Amino acid sequence: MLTRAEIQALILATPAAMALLDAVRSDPAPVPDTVAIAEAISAGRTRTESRLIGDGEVSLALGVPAGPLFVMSLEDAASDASRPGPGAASEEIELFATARQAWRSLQKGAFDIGDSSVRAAIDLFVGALLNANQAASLKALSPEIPDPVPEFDVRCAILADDGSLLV
Amino acid sequence: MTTTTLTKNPRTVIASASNAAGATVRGAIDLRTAQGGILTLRITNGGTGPTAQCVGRVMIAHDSGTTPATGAAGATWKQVFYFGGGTTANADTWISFEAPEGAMHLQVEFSGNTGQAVTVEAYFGEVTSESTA
Repeated sequence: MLTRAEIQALILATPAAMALLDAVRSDPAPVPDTVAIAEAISAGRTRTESRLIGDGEVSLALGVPAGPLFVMSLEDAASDASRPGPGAASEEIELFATARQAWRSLQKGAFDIGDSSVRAAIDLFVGALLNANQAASLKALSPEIPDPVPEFDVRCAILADDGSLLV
Repeated sequence: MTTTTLTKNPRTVIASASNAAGATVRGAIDLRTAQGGILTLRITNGGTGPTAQCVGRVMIAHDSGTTPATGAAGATWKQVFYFGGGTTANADTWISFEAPEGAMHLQVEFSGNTGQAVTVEAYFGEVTSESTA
C-alpha cells in the first residue's frame, strides 16, 4: 500500500493525472475525477505475490536437463569449495553469499519467488548460473499482476478535509 | 361505529442542499403541539465521494419552552439516532426515524463529510391532531 506522499508524488510525475487536476483547480469546490486519476497513475504498475518454492519446482520450471543443472550449479556455487578466499572481489563474495542463501531457501522450500529481493538475486545469477530466458522462467512462477492504486487512496491524497486540493 | 381522522402536516427540517466539505448543517422543529410523526433523512454523495462520510444525527430536546437554539448534542440536545452516508461515489442513503408523541423538539444535524460536499435533506410528517366522529 502506498503512502499519501507516494501517491502525491506519482500524481505529480504523471502528466495525465495532473491535467485532470488542473482542469478543476480554479473551481471554488473542486470535484476531481479521482477514478480517472487513479487509472492514470496505475498504468503499468505491477506487483508479485509471495510464493514459496523448492528445488523441485525450479527444476520443473527450467525443464530437463537445464533445471537440474541449475540446481546442481547453485549447490556447487554455494559449497565451501566455492567460498571466496581472502582478498576476493566484493562481487565474488556477494555472488557466493547470495548463492548460499538461495540454496538454503530452496532446500527448505522457502525460496520466495515473489519477493523483490529474491527476484533481484535471480538477476544476479544471470550470466553466471542462468541465462536471461531462464531467469524469466523462474520469475514467471510468480507472475507480475496489475497493481492499481485504489481510487479512495487517491481521493484521500488529493483532497484536504475542507475540500481544497493538496496536489 | 366511529371513525378516527388524523390531521397531518408536512414540515421541512433541512431542505435539500449541499453540505460543503467540513461543514455542519442543522435544523430543528417544535413538536410540542404534535403527536409524533415520521422523519425521513437522506445523504447523497457526489460523483467523487467524500474522504470521510457524512453522519446524520437526530436529537430531541426535553424542553417545554420554545425550541432551543440548534447545536451539538449535549446538555440541551440529546442524540437518539444516527446513520452514515458512506464514502462510496454516488451512494444514496435513505433512512427514516419515527418520532414518538413525547418528543418536544426535534433537531437534525448533518456533519463529518470531508474532502467533498454531499447533498442532505430532512423532512418530517407530523400528526397534529386526531378527531373521532
